[in-house]
Amino acid sequence: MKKIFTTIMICAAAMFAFAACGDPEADKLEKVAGEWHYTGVESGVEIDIYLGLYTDSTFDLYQKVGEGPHYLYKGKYNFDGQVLSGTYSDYTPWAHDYNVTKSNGSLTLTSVAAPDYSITFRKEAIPQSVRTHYMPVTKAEGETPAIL
Amino acid sequence: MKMNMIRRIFSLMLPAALVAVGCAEKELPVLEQPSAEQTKLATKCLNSSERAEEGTLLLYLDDAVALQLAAGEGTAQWEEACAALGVEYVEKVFPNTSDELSQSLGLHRWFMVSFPDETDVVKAAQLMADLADVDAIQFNTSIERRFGSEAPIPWTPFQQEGHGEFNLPFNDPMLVDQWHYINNKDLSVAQTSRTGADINVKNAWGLTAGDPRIIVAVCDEGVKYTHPDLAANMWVNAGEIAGNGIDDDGNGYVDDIHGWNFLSTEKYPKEISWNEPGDVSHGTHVAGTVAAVNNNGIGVSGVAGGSGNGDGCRIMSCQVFSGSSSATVAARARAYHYAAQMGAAVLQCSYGQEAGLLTSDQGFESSYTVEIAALRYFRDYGNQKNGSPVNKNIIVFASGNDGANISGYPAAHKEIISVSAFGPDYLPTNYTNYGPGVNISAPGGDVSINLTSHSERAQILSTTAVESAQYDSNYGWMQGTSMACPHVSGVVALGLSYALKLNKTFDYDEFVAILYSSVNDLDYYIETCSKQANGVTFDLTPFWRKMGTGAVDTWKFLMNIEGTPNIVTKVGELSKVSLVPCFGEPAANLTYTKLEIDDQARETLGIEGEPYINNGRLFIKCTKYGSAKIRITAIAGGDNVATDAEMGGSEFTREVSLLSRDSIAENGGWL
Repeated sequence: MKKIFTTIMICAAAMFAFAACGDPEADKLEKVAGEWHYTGVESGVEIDIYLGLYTDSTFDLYQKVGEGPHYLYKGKYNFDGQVLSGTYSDYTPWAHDYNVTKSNGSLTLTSVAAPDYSITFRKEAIPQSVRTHYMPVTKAEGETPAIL
Repeated sequence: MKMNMIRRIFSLMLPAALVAVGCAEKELPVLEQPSAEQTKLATKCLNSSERAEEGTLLLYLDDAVALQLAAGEGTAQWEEACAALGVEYVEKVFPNTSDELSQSLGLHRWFMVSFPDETDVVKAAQLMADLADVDAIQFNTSIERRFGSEAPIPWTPFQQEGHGEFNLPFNDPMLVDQWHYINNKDLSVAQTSRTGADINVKNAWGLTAGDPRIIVAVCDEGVKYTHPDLAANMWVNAGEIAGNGIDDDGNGYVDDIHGWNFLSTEKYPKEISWNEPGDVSHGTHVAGTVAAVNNNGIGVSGVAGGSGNGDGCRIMSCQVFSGSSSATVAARARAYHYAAQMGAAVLQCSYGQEAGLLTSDQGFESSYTVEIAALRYFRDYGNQKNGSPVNKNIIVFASGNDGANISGYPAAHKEIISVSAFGPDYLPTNYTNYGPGVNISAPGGDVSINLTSHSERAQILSTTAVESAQYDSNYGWMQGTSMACPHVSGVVALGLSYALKLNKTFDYDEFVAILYSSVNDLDYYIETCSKQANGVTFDLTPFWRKMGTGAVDTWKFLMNIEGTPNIVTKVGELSKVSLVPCFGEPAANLTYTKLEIDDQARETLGIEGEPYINNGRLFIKCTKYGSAKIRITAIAGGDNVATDAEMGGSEFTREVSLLSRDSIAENGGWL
């Protein structure tokens, strides 16, 4: 009986250990994944940006600068637990790699190379009106890339 | 049905004139050596008599004489010449020319004389050239029917696996077969079918599906205005009472309810028709693409056909072909003039001269003086009657089906939008004209890529005028730049509708520039590709950068209508900013001719050096944070701008908002 109990415990521990391991990369992405929103005004121009970071390492960036619809940039990102980097689907790299700070429902991205530059998003779902009303600029992987 | 604009100036002298006909033939000189008459004719004659209609001549008269004739009076010399020629009728080419625009374009000075068909038209021209009051003579030449004599292939039920995913916005049962609107790589259309090889209209219909205030004049065969899928979207002349034989609205045309048959003359009156021997449903097919009624539970959808709530754009039938009768210059010119005065905002014309017959705008303008004047009238008449959000009207022509490396005319003219055709494989068709003069592309169908038993499915599906009990024969397949053209006309109509909805107005040049920028890149597919056409390898390399700016995209067009595009540059360093947000996917393949940055913008942004554009990127160094407007000009169609003497593309200019900030990716992405 004791032997059976020991065997069960070993199996359970093994299963727990297996489950806990998961995918370490996905676990890292989980930390930044979500939908984020930034608004601001620069030089009198209103900026409105939604960023969707998804656990499959893809992102959608809906960007509105001034009038007109949001422009959609798609691509892939990576997060190593500290630094967030990404490439648009037209193979253009992000302007920066960013150190990430999360607090109170906000996500602050600070340029690794230029620490004076940062942008803070707050957690907010991308509205359906934005998801369905945008100008595509870069396409998803598998679609024809724009020649830039 | 009569055109009361026609002045029977010589009705009283008609018997005498008819008697004179026989004499006239004898009296006209026999021309074997260059004569004084020939020389005079050469100085006054605008075009060749090839394909001239028998029995008519177009005369551009001295201003004072034109006024006299319009009042029913003629000079003694004029009457003598007419009597010698046996003139039966003299009529103004354009009725209602009292407006300033008609006068400034000289439309009031154009007259058409009709005489017996047996009279040699060249000799008649020589006789009229003798008159000092005749400033110019244009043979009333016709554009041959160049869309073939084959009727459309009737639509038949087709059951086969292979349709892509469809979530259709309208309940029109044949919309699933209209790959040219929604192409989900339907293999039953073609094995080489490509997702997105369409006009990307599906989601655009969620923003607008049309507006009845926007009228598209379909210059073509007569439109079957009784067609169940067209009738509700036919333009109705509210000022006219049907069938009372009176010109109620005083526009010069009696009982013009849905348009007019411009082949109708005093001599040969005709009503709008679509089933004369030789008719092939061309006009009805084109009209259906523009605005077949959407969401009515029957047949097909139209690009600007509304949402089923009476909100479709309207179709005006301006008939210039009938059976075997071709469109004469006079018929075409009258149609354009009528369309303007009756409120059309878009002129849809799927015909033209064979590519190569004319090779410059100057050549077209000098040979077809009356036509270009009427086209300009249509454009410049603008929104006086139609409430269009654009200050001028839009003219769209098919580039032609000669497979030639230049567009045919009138399409090629720099003031006209010329449309080439691609197939469901997103590749140029083996018939389309391309190269100089072509501005933009749209689906035209391509049966040659399909060797299956249902190859017609790679063509364009629309309404037809065929009346048969077999299946639902009111619908059928056709292909050609004739079919591509109404896609662009429909998209333009949707754009106008959306601008109305947003309460936005546009300058003509700005609106057309937005259209040319709202495209997808065809060159990506063309660059390294050939295709099979009728089982033979068809080299596509000649088409690279020759299909205008690209494939028209309805959704992008509406998005661009919403606001000025923005590009962002990084302050303090030389940025190379992608112009894709402003000029669409093909930005890198466009030729840019101008970059305008005024002094205020330079000061605001602290621009150092001279910015320039290379490979679709703006190279600019801003030293200050700020925002300013700049203007960028590119060519729609090729590397060279059309001049009067040389064919080429049309310049178009986009105003762009430029923001300089700390950080931006090279493609304009914020991160």
